[in-house]
Amino acid sequence: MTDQRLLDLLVDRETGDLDRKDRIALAGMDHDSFLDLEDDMGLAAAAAMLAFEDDQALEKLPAELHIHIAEDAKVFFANAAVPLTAEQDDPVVTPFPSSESADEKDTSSLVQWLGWLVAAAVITFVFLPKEDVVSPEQRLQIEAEVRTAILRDIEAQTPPELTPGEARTQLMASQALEPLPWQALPDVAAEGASGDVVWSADDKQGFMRIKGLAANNPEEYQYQLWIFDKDRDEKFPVDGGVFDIPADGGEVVIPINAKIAVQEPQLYAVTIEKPGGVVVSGRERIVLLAKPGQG
Amino acid sequence: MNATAPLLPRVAQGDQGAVKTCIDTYGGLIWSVAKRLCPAQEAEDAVQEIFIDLWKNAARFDASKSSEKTFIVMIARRRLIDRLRQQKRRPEQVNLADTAEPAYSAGLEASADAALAHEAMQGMNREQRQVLYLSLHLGLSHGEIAETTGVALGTVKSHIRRGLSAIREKLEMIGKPKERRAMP
Repeated sequence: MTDQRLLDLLVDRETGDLDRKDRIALAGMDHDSFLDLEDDMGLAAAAAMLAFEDDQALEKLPAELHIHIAEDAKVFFANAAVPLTAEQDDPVVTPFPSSESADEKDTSSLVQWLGWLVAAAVITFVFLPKEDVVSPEQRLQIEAEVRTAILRDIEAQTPPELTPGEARTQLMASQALEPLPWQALPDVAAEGASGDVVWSADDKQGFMRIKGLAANNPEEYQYQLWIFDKDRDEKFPVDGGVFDIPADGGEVVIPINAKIAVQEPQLYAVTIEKPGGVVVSGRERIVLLAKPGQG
Repeated sequence: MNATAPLLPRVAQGDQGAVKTCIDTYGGLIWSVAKRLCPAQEAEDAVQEIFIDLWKNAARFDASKSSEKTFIVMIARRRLIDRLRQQKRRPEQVNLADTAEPAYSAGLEASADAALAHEAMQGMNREQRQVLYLSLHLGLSHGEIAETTGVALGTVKSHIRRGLSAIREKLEMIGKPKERRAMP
């Protein structure tokens, strides 16, 4: 078989159009000898498919399906040669990445905007007519003043970054939300723990305030929030994010990072899990609970 | 967390956090593609099968050959095309007017491979681009494309074969800068 014929067969297969005769022809070949070529063709088709994809039109994975996939993964890796392990060299503490990304994006666009403004100002002066009375020294000074003024203006327009505590206060004030108090369960890590949790269904965001929960070593274990949502099987609560308690013993405010949409929380639970958190909790150690109507 | 580090090598090691992040990161893309290529009632099964394929093939991901996103779409495509052909069904009724000049750009920001594929397709004529769109984006068989467009079957095959070969050559020719391979 010629190389071109092999290429044609691989393209036909990649696009689902191998007829019976060609399937047999391909099956008769030494698969290992064209494995790389096969993948190259598959990657080309995938890249072209991505080029047609509209990122803005992508839908979110349905919550139930997300849970089923996570369950499948658990079963798969339980039987795989390499079992599922706690997170390795790139630990994820989940409450913060999304807000950090947003901040980075904001900063990046701000820098771009500043760049354009400064460039515009510079261009304005560069194209001043030659007979203009402005000397080179004065020109530099004016450019510096423009730059300073722009920076000052941007600074004035940039909202100050809120701490989680401030963001919580602002959220509660804007929607008259009532926080639910945590109830500490009989676990050594939760002795004397207190605080509350607040959730805005409108903004799909919330915060936990926690005091007195035992500080953890993230390499040994981490805390994980679970949200039991109305109309969802209680066996599969929503993962609200993994977090740590620092050793200083003070109060901490932690943004909730629900992995999927939460409609109407019926119960919040904090468990102790392996580093990195788990897909489905075994619920061996539940340390905090908060339930609406049980203040 | 380093958002640009590939997840699949860690998935291949059974890293639970990477498995979770992988579902979070690519679930929406796979779901959207499956919904387009499968009947609605079968899309969920298809997505679950794709993720199993992904766990199985995670160790095969080679960051020097493609971005992680492209590799994952390849796995998803193969599973979906298999299902589609087994059922011998069209994914949906195609309105040819909508495909006259397929738009591609929104997906380019997230994948350098996609940008290169786009570039390669820019060098093709409109008919060839349309054929590739019907085949790759909508999952139509060669025969269905011929029927839909009125282009001869042999020409459809030729457009697809030459088109994909050109894209493959583009991906190989440009080289593999590290920064683009780090993209999701």
